[in-house]
Amino acid sequence: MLLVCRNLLLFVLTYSVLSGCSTKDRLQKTETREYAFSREGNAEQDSLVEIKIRPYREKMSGEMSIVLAESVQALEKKTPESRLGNFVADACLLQCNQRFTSEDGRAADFLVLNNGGLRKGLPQGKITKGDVYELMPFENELVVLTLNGVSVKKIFNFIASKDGAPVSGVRFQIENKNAINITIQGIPFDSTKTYKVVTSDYLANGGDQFSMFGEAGKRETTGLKVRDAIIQYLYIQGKSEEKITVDTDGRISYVK
Amino acid sequence: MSSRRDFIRSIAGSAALIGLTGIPMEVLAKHELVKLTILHTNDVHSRIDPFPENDPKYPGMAGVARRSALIRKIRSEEKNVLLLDSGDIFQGTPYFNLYGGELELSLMSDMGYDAATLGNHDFDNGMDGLLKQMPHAKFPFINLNYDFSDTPLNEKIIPYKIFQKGGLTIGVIGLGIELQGLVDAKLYGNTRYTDPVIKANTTARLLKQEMKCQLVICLSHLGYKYNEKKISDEILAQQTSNIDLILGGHTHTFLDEPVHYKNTEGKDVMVAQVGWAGIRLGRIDYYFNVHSGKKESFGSSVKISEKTIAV
Repeated sequence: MLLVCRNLLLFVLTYSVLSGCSTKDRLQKTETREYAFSREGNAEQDSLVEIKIRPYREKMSGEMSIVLAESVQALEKKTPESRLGNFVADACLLQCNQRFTSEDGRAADFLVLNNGGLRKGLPQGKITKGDVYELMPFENELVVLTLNGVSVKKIFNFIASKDGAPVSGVRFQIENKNAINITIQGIPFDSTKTYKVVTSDYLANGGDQFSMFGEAGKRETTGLKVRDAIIQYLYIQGKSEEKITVDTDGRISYVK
Repeated sequence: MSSRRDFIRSIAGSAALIGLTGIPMEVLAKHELVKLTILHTNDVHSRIDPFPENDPKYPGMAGVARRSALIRKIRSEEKNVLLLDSGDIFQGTPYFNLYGGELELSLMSDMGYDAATLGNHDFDNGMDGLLKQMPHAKFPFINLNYDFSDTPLNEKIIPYKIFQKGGLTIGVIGLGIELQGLVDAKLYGNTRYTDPVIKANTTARLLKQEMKCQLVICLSHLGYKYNEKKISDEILAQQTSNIDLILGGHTHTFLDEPVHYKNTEGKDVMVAQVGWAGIRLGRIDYYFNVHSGKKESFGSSVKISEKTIAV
């Protein structure tokens, strides 16, 4: 008896709660949930999918599983600077200057990439070619731009407003979203000089809001893909049996 | 990772809500409840195999074979399923570099995806690259606010689609992000971006008011929200009407559960997004009363959230 009463009370209560809110159409309620896929959860595999993937995987795995080098630490991206950003930026500037000579023979002064373009971190231990494809899946190529000091300052201010970006050959501090105490190749920035900047064709075309690259007086294509520059750098490191170790070095920091 | 306490609290919360709704369910059953199950992904980025075991962030997670197995299981339990994707299907693993997206679209077709919208990275091999792969997709690409009339994609992308499921009419629209400054101009060519709020409002109204859709879903690749005033799902939800659910993407946001907003008419809009890479599959079950023709209003949405694993 008591049970019946309790149920009735609950029913009335619930009914009044529900009928209390007028709603559109005939939607009664919604339930939401999410499933995560891992070794522990929802791990069951569809064998038909596996069968379909297999020939694609096998065809590419020979090349993608080539070990290029070993890394002492996992490399991840962060702001204002990161191990991953510094590694990629340094590797690309070095490779670009080794493999490409500007018309006037001058080496590039510094390099700028964007964090959005670094799609995935690199693991600790063995780094495969496939890992680099996932870090840098795009077919973007490195280009060398010649810019005057005023435009160069805009680049650094823009990077400061974005709380940093992968850079090499330059150091500066961020104060109120502006770049200050800038040095390029160890020499204080001079707004009356012109500089040679390496970046990707994507950013040079104004991608990721880097519109100031459009002010470049000269643009030289290198024919070197960003990904290939990283692969080459790692390959050489691997050959020399030198493990990759990267540190943040304060190249971009906040004014305390 | 969700803590053990969160997990217990979540279970306890669910139990309390089930307790509350458990009895009226019997009453509602007389009105023939039709259940519609929406499953969704976004920004899968060619993640066909799980992440490798040495991945610093997501070791051994994701994988299409797992997603497919779960979708099969859900389909065996549910009659009315809509499986949707909010864009950036392409780019992120060598599968895309080597095969151009063929495997991604073919597997999505096998899983029975009903529709997808276009993300910025779906332009990464240019419009010709996308066009070339489209025969592998047995589902439509939906977008309202890109004008493709002067491009190779002209008439290949549809502005909306209406689905009939268990007596319900569901309208699906799609919105894409501003491409200028995000995608290299040579890749999107003469594609013209138009205001997503205006386009969404016009078409959602058509679907809801004139075509009598019980539910209007927007597949969005605008991004969940930004610090600046840039258009996002959060803004879209509040500046439009006639949209019930926004399935988002682009910002790779792991929303543990959909976020509720009020639209311009004060009605509820949910925004959902499940991170990226197919690490998660989102699910929203709608229960509609299809028996009574008139607006009998038993109640607004009662949310039963069941968190599984937070990543």
